[in-house]
Amino acid sequence: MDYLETNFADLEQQYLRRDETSEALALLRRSRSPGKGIDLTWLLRHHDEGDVTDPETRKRDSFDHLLAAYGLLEIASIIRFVPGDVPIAFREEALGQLSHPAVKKYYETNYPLLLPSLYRKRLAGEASEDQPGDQTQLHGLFSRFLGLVNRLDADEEVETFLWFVDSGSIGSANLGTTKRLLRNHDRTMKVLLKRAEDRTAAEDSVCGAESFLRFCAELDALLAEAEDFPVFQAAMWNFYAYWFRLIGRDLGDALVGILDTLAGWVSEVSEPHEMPDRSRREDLVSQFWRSVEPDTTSAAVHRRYSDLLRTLDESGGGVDARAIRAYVSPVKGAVERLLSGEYGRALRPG
Amino acid sequence: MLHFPERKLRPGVKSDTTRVLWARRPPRAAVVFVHGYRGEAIGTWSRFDALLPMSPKAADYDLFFYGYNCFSSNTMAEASLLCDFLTELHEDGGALLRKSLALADVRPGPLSYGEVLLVAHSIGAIVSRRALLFARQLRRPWEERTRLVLFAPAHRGAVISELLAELEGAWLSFFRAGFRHMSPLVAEVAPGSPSIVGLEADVEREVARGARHLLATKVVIAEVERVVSNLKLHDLDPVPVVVRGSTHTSVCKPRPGFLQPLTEVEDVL
Repeated sequence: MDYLETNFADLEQQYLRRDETSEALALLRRSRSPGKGIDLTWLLRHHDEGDVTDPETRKRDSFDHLLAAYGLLEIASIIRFVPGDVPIAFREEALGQLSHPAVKKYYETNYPLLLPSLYRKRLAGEASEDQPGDQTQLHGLFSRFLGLVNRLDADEEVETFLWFVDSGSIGSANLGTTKRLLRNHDRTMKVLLKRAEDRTAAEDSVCGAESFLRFCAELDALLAEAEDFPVFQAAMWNFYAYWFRLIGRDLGDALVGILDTLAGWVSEVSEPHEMPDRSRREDLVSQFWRSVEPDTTSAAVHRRYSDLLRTLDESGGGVDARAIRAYVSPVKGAVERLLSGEYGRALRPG
Repeated sequence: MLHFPERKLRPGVKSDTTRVLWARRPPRAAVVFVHGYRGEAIGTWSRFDALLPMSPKAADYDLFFYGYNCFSSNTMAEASLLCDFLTELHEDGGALLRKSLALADVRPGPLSYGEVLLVAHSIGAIVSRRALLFARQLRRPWEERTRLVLFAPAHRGAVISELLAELEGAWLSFFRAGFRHMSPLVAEVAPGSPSIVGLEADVEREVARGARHLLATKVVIAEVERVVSNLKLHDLDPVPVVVRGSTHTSVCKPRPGFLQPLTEVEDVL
């Protein structure tokens, strides 16, 4: 196998032939057998047509993973990370799945997503997007993008948070309980210091919100770096179009609300005391390290360290206003850019 | 691209957070990145995962970003687990490869590392050195085929309040009282603690017995440092290299226009 064929086979194995897509693939096979009684049109309906049950949600998740895999193959095709010609058997299978009326309606009408459409057209030979440019640079950026995709995909706390953003709940926990918890900074701190296995669903969601905001900042930085490759940039943004476009308003309200809550903690800090407190802490720590010489006994080091912690403790709790301000503003900027849809403009219809 | 894109080392194991970039051609060695307090397998080393695979010098290396519990656990337990991981890499790396890379067959030949370079940050340096001490005690055949590159090592302990304050992009850095939280790990890495003093004594003793691989090949320190001491580990380690304009956190995060952390690692490949 050459470089491009290896890339194709690797993406196919990693994203298309994974456990998460197996149920969708099995359902698609069964739907083509007469008398099997699989109504994919109903399963993949818009939620306004009828409430989606938990077992249905799991099946629909499998289709989402399948469409995501095709989305990644489309991005890889745009930057020529994979061969222009895919194996015939693969093309026929993929085209069959993406052209299935229920599946097509799912990603084109019910929850419109661009990348599966583009890939179907590419496989059918109707049209194909292309991003010219330095292959090493493009492939390097794509590799970073795959890393982001993998890490977000594996983060169960983010999954809980996004489930709540999408109107879901676990027991009595939902987005409202997440927001209420965040209003109290002491409780938030305790949540962040808890072991993952000891957290409740609402507490998982708080940690998921933190991780998702970090992801937003990283994705925004990556998309900004891809500005010389507008089609590629738009394709990567479209991979997350469900969050940033389809339910962008809900997500935006949740994220901006959370950032405002964090910023609100600052109002509890008296401005004139803020800087001296921080500078004093830094001075105390610097003094401590200066007092540690190579020949200082361990007992003396330990005693001085205990004194340092005691002194720091006397300065009380609360929050570091400067740290919060330094965080909120750039992250809010990243969220706003992702939600504006600007990154997707090169692939916007018309 | 000289490496396959980043992926999980053990795809079916949710609790395992180690990530890997497999070299496309059979490697002769591996780099294992070991993060510090509350760090993340990739996050701590941000951009190493993107920039190092671009370097021709890294073409013959599999790149592992080791994930472990550097929060509620303790350095002894984590060092022992790291030692186990290094043993697995040497003795059964082929199985790890096949589980993680479905196309393992495109890389012919058995997986055998001539050397493993441990690149560790902050408390990760304690965990790594302790892991090598365990390997020596257990007479692991691979122990002398390792080298250490340490970024802002915490071998004289770390100040917990500053560790939290320096957690980049983490909400815990907002709280002035977060350091009141205590865990076995926090107690162990306190300056002057028995664990810190014991590590230094153990390293000194084993180096005197000829275990030169316990000495760092390179120590990279931050220009602005409050979390750890920049004092050398007695006269054992080499003269440190300073990354200009760096802090405890940024010292191991290369980016365009700030490539020294990357070149310091490239130099020893």
